[in-house]
Amino acid sequence: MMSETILDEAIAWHLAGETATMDWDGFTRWLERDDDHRRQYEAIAQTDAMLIRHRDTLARQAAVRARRRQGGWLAAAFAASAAAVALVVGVTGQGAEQTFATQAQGREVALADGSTITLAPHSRLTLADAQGSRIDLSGGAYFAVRHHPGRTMAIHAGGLTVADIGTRFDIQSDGGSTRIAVAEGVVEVRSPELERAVPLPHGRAMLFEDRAAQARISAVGPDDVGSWRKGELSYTEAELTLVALDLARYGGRGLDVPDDMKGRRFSGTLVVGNGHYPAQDLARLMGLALVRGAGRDRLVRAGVGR
Amino acid sequence: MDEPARPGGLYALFDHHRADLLRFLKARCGDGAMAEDLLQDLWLKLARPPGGPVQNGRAYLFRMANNLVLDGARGRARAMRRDRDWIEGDSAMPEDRPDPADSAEDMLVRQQEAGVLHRAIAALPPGARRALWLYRIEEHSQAEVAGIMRISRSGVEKHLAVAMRHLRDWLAEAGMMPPAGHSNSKEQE
Repeated sequence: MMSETILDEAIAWHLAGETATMDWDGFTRWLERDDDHRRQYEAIAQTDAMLIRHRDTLARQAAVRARRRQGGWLAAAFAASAAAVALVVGVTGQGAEQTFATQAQGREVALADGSTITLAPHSRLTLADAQGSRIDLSGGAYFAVRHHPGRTMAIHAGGLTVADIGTRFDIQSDGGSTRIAVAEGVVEVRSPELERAVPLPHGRAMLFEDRAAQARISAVGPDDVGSWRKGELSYTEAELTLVALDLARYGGRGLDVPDDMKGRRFSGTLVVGNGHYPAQDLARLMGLALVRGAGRDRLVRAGVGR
Repeated sequence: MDEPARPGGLYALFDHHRADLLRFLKARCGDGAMAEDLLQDLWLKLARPPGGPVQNGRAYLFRMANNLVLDGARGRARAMRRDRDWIEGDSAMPEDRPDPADSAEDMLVRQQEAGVLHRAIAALPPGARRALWLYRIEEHSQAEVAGIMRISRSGVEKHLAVAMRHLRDWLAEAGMMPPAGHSNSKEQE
């Protein structure tokens, strides 16, 4: 209680500090009264300073978001049945551009050099040529790419380009966000929205959100990279909205996350396919309830009236 | 109109208020020796002309002193070193320098900070979010925010207080700044 009051006072002093009527001597006396005053004030001042440092970035993000609002990828019309990732193997022909689009089943695409791409359900991959010098992806795919010196392979997913490849990594791109997780080797991630190319080594994952126009890096267990191929979805501190996107793709049912839960995070592993109901497991693990709809579910607070 | 700021005038003000400024710095950073150093830094900074007219020289000096503490704490705590141009009406501190080794890690730290801020702002109650946005991102004064939102000044302050507290909690939770208090000042539920 005491500390809450101090915090309120600290905020009031901080906000007053920018006004012409700020009582600097009164502020000095307030600071002198208790060490905790100083600490609470410092935390608020640092918070606000960080906000000001990022003012331009935040303003730009808002502009980007407004621009892209109508272009959002819609997770609609998923097969109601659980989608285990059964693979159909196809080898690309020579020459012209090829597109592979999956429905409830994933498939494997082999490149001319022996590299393989495992394309997730409900995903789309376009190869400019059989060497994969340019690849466009929407949805999910796991890449096992052989390294050839001198070759340039570029994968375009969301707003990102992944290049300098000789490695194993996974990309999930939809709903305005792109995730890259590297199991082996290192990739280089570029975007017009990033200040420079970001090297992403094995054991690291990047989350790039279009609307925020910024990237976050986190650690990832190499065994967890592309684990959807084994019917598992593993998360560490993942936002619920991303988990929901994955459940639509790999669990076969859409999942709505109410606005007030979108910032919540989930850590754990969900099993998809083979009769599992991962949204139900997710709800249970997070202490939430699930409301079933036709083809889609919705997370609600436990105990809340339906 | 306002008298253009002249460094000479600020030096005189500095001398006149030196004791008060030192007392403030000691209270603000909790460290007498550091306060003396910062006072010296403040004096050095007076060599640079203010960015705009200074209406109240004494308040201006206190604000500069306050920003020096803030910046010093950030530098020590985070070893982060650039982007100091937010210091009001001024460009760079004497010891500041462009950091040629601005690594990808630095960029990622900045992006992570921006990401947390973005999400924290998105999660604010609408009134607090709007007030904060107008005030901090669009740089309206508190009075202007009150006019735009058609609420009282104290209403604006309340919204901003909610927003500041909320952002502080998010940043602390994300490990992007030390928790609000040290171990002996954890908030009691």
